[in-house]
Amino acid sequence: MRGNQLIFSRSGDRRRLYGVSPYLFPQYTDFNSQFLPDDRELPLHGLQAQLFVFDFGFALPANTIAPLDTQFFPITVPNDFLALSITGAADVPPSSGVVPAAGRLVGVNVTPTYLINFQQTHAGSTWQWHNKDVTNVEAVGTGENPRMFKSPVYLPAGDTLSCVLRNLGNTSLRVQIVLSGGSF
Amino acid sequence: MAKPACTTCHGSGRDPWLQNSTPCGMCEGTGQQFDPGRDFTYEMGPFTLNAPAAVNPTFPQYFVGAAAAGPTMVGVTCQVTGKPFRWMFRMAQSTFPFQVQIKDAGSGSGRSFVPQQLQVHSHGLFGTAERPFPMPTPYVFEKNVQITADFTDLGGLVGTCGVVNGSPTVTWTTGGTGFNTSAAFGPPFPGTPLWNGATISLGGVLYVISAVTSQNSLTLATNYTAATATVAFAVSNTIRVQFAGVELSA
Repeated sequence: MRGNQLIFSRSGDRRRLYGVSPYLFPQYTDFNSQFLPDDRELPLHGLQAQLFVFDFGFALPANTIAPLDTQFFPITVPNDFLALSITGAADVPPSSGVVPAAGRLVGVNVTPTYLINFQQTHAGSTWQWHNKDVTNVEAVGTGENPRMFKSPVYLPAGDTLSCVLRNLGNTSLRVQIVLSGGSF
Repeated sequence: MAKPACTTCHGSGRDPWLQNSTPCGMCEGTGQQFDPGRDFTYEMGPFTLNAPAAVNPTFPQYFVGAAAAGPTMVGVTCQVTGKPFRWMFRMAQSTFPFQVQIKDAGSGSGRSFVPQQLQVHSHGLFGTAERPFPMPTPYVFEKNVQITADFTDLGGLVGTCGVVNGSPTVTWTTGGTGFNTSAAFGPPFPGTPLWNGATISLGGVLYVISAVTSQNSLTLATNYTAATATVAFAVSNTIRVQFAGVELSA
């Protein structure tokens, strides 16, 4: 946000210049600064691009979440990591074999689709990222519209980060959550 | 060739205007002159998973298409040319969602961007030209290396089915657990099966699917016009992955 911005002037008055970042500009135009981390953007040095994946059924089919069930997926952080955005995807496994239709009690799509929370353990202490489980609508973005953390989340090496998901649909559910960022 | 020194800090990596108390803001402490690069894009693919015929995969493939008769393709490659490439935006185009694990083959063992070595769902990883997913940290592929990727199709299927001359109804016989009835979650409620409106190859002839009615049956948009028989079917996923960024000078 501080160094890689274009300079625009809404009024033409040079005393009212404001910076616009190219980052997420297609998504949010000049409002994008509202969605970007306060402290860091487009770091070119010092971080290695990395993704942490919490998989519930896509890459690991055994982790598919049963109807209305809850699943955990823990990761032990292998190296210091800064998470800058969160994205996700979900669907009904093809093998569930039910065509979605209004009025059904089983196999229908619902939105919000699941509740999500993170539990981080550091040096024996565990805390949650949300005071209660929140819906995917509130917490998870997509590849086209990633949800940026307003402040990058620091995950020290050795910490354990568990993703806790609760299926809100009355059908099996596959979910994958991705933290994008960099390791160092 | 050594990179030119930063014109602000002259290679020290410290900010001379702040008495060297902080890293140089121009070069982020590297001491090297910042290289804005030249806009460049590498495209991986197009290639097709669950392709209609029993096609032998053509590995390695670079910018030409390849096809696989199954849902997976391992070790797809994209060759970086004689300049380092700074990957800044990731985008993809596909018929259906897919999973992918991207690796930097030039890093020796093939560095994966996911330390757990899991494939990542395309909806959580890629944007589009209108809404690209910016890499929070751009990644530099060194010159002459290969970007490699393993893919798994999440939507298509190959198998056999029963068709009747003059009828739009297709009956599943073999392949997977039946026709794909799944729909992406979320609005529009209650969701439309992925295959509705998709193209299906029936015995080598392409038809459009009107609606999937169950795992065992689907309806075509037009009547099937060939001899009643059991034929091979394929609903394919054609994928392109784009690495957008800048080509560096050295």
